[in-house]
Amino acid sequence: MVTVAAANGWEAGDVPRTGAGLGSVHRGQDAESNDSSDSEYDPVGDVPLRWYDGYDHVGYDLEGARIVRKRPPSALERLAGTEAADDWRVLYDARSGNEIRLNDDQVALLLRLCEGSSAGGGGDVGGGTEEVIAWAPSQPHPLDSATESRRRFEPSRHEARQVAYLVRGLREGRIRPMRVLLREREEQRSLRRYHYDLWGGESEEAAADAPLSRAARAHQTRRLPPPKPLPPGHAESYNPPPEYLPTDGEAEAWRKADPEDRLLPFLPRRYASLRQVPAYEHLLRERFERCLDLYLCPRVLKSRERIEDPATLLPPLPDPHELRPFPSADRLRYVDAAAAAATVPSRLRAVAVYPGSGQWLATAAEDGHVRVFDVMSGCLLQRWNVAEMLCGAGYRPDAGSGNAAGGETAAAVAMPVVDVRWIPAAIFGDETAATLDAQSVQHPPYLVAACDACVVLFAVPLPATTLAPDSVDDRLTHADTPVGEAPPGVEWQMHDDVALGRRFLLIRHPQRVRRLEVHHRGDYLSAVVGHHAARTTVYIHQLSRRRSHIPFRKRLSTVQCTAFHPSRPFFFVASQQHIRVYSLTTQSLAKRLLPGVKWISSLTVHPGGDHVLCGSYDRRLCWFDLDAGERPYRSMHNFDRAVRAVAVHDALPLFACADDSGRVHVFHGTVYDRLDQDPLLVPLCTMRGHQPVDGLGVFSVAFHPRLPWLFSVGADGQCVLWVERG
Amino acid sequence: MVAERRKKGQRGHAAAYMTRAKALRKLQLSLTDFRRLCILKGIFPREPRKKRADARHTYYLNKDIQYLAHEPLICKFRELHAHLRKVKRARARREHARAAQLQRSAPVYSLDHLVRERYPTFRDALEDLDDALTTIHLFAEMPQLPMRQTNVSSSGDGYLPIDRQRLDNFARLAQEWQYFVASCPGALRKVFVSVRGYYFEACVQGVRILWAQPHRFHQCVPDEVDLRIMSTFLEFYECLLRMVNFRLYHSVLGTRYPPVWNAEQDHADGLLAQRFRTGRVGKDRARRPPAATETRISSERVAAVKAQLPEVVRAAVAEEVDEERPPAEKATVATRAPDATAPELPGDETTHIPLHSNATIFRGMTFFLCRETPVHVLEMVLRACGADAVGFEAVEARASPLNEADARITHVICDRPVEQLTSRRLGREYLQPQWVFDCVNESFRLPYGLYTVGQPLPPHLSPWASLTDVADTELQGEVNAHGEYVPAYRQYLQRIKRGERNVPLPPELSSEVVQGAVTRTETPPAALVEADEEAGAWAEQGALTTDHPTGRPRPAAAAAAAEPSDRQQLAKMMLSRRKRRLYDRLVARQRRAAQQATALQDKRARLLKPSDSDLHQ
Repeated sequence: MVTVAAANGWEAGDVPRTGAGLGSVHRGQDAESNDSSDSEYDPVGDVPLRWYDGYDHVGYDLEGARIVRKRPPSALERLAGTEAADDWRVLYDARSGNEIRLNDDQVALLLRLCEGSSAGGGGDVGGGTEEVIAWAPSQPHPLDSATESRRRFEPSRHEARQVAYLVRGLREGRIRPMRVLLREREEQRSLRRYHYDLWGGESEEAAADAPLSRAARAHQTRRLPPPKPLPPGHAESYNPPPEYLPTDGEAEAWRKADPEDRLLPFLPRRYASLRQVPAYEHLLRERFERCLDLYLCPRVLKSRERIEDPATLLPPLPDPHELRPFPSADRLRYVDAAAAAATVPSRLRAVAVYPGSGQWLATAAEDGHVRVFDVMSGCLLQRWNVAEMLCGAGYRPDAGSGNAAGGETAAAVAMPVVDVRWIPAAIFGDETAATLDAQSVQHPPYLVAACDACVVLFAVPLPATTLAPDSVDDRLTHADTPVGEAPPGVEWQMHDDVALGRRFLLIRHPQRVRRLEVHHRGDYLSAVVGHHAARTTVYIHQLSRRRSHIPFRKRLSTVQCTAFHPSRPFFFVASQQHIRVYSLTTQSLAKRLLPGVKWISSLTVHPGGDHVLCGSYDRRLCWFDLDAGERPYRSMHNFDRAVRAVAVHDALPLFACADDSGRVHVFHGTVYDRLDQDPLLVPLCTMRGHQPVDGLGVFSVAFHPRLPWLFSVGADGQCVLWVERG
Repeated sequence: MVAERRKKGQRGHAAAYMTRAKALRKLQLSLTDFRRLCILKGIFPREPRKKRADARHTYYLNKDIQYLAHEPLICKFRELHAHLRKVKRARARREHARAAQLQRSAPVYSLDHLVRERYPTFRDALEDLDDALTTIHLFAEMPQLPMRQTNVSSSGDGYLPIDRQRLDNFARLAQEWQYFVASCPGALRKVFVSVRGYYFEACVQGVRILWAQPHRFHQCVPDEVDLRIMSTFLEFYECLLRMVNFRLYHSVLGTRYPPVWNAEQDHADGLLAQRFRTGRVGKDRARRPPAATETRISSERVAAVKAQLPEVVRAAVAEEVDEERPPAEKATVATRAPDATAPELPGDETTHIPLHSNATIFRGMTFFLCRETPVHVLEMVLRACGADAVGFEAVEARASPLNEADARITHVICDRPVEQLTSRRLGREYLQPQWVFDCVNESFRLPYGLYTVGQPLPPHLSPWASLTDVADTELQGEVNAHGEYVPAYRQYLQRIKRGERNVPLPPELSSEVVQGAVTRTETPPAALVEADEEAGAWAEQGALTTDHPTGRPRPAAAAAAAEPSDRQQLAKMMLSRRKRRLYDRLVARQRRAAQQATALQDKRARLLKPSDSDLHQ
């Protein structure tokens, strides 16, 4: 015990005095100490005072009655009753219920204890040994008799190493005292670290030269500044104009709408003065969302032209008025009184203008009639019921045909005339095609019409012709002998119609004829034949020699239409998505055109022969330059419905197309001789004159051979002449 | 030899991007740290043309991630995590002294190098200052945040808590910025009071800066707002704004930064001017004298301002340099000059001449702000636009440089009912705050008649919507050149600014005008005209009628003008598909704008109808 006390630096001499000093304070443990005279006995006894916690008494007297606990004076009482300056010396003893006044020695002792110094005061260090013995009377000797280790008296090597390490670290600056470290950290943390001119000197140029790492410079090139939010509009004002305030309906719609769909996140409201404006509750959330956008939202650079006026996008086209003449207004409608009387007018499928002079007009109707009108006067000259003629010739609709009605007479079956073409009279006589005009017509012209599976050729006795029809029929008869063999199913037949008193030529096909095309000289006919659009055959007939053949060994599927080149031996075949150009001399494929459309509807070759037009059911019109390549030179798109018919003017730089909305579009198309100059295509006008019926509008358009006139027939049974607006 | 097979997505465009997960693996960072790094470095996801892995993933540029990998901040983050672990362990062992000491020695990082990298030139920094200013201003007005939100660092993820000290810093930064704007004449271009708060637009060194400041109210923090993210943003914005302020104070104002904070005025709701005592930079730093600074600021509008740049402003700046004088005296000095040189009071005819410079709108005027007005906003606006002196109503009279009884006061801005305006004095204009804002937006001292206290206010219009050119005399009815609807009050202001006399008020305002409102001479003649006469005159001007002799198109006609003509429809056929779609989009946009304009016009006509019938009865 002595050793321990000595090792701890406690001095044994202090102990008895300490005990005497404390005795006055803790009297309960030191009963024989009589420093204070005011307490004779301890009523509580030697028990912990906490036993009486929560009770009003602190023990029992000799009679067993409770000794009531005395309350210490409260702070307020003490304050009220304070008169002496040394009132702080008074302590309350809960055990006895008495107040104890500390004397000077006791206060000094307490102060020493608070400082942590020795209780007995620093003055008497190294007191006598008697007290030690008195304090520990039973242990007069040290507990063990081991000799002290030598190390106890030598400086520690480990500590020396530690000190050396620290000194070296301090000298090298590797170790910094915590005080210095903390001061440095405080300085680093202070905002003064940002108080310097980051961007260098005065000028921006100097800043640009300032060192920036290569990676940082490269990063600058990838920089995409975030888009700035739109500045607020009138509706966000605290006092917006009244027209920006929502009506009841608008407010209701705003409340019902999803928050994502609302244009403003709050309802505009008018406050009569600025002091009435309340807090805006979503402010922090909106800022937070902006922050999220800034670091979470993927950014992509989209170069967008700022175009205020969309008209600047449109190409600079010449004024249509400078490109006159062109048809722009309807002048005349060609009406057959008998057909017009019908409740439902039959559709007109095709229109053909007499080439050369353009005096006459032939239309093909779905009721089986071919009608010939005078172009100028609009009067009906001739009417042929082709269906009846076929019946008279003993033709029965094929069983596979869609029009088949077993057992019925053919007359009762509606056999629509799908196509009609003029054939110049010269081919059967000795005149040349060049002399075909109104003045020199001597022979009546021929019409060829496609009806069901037959192609019918007959002469049209018109008033301007000089020869009688009979002699014309004779001419047909003369060229009677077939030279070559006809393909299976094709049959040429000459028929004398007793009722009409005339004869006509009949070419029967195995299946329905869908399209008819005539070579510009009139000697050759091509027919697209097939019950279904997906399985078609192309036939070419030579009228002068009554010869037929199938030009393609393989069956071409889905042939939409065909065309002859106007001057050279080429043949155009349009399938659903391609146009093939065959050379008739070498009998091989010369070219393939790719319009890029889904379904071709019509095909026309420009009279110059170097350009091809095709319309499509997916609302496009393509202009091909055969010299330029297989893709269209220009596609025109802005049609409402499927483009069904295309036509090019023979003499004027005009072309036209018609769509299923019943509109006819006229374009200007100049083709230049110079090879380096592209064709000039200008849309001229859009004309509305046909009513669409069952989603079908105009079926066919044809130009007058010389004048800027256009003819169109449609599903509403109308045949319209379009001329230039006067 | 067989050519080596190339795997898909290893070359070309697709290989230039990596997903976020891959970036995390590459950088060896936790998602939290990666996000912090992205926020601080300004890295953001990109949208590749073709997404290699999955369309739902977030993609970053490979180069961006490489750039992040070399960031020294990553090491600091790791140090920070190690440090947090130590703190956590000390706390768990109840070694509180050690934990406290550790906390004091936490690793510190600074962000100035990031500012330099992100904004190589000062102009870049100014251009991207909008978000920083708005966020700092929002948090500057924030009271103490709730504990659960502020105590974000205790979770051990190393975020700086948004404590009181930081909030004070934000407030201080915001005030420094406001002080800069206020002491830079002509910099403030537009002010708009919205339901959300105040929007300001300033032009600093030719860069347009738009920021917002909330109304002074308690902001509640919704649960969905993650303050840790905001804290990271604020960390960067604080640094950025501090460095921008430093440069602006030094190069533009020519004063010391940070400005000396006036401790007595710190917590009093005083004026900006009193809170700061800016000192001039030492001679080696101040290469530009203050007067030259002023001319440089106004160089954008040289012709307009130069002649009018008053000695007053220069004197004020020169006086501000003097630190010895108390603020009240400074104001006195500043106002003395106009009193002597410009005896004409506002209200004479010269005030109608458009000055077209914001620097001199309130020149020669001394303002007194009542306590219900937004003093902090108004002071900045007034001082930025050339007011001579601004006083405000304060509990302690000495807080304000101007006493209410001061004879120099020419304008009192107050926002209370007339009956509560007890001490009105002759020779003063009692105006509502909106007058100040509208004047700034129009760059023009507006007539007082519509804005006097107790009047129903004219609408407060956004200065960024339905803009019209002053020179554009042919305003197309109620639609401007861009097809936007122009409210009637803006048209009225335009005509006044053009110098037209006897401009009739819009009918919806004229019915509200208090008859015979006693104003001095600033009231436009029209305001004194009988209300029904005005309505008639307005109608005569053709804003609402259909057949006007001057041939202004009707609203419907204006809407129809957006429809393409037949010829344009035809020419559209010749466009390629891409251009045709673009054309269609543009036309549709025009049509939509026209429809909106028409709807607003119709609504206004409907609103006016009953009042018209009332007038004619």
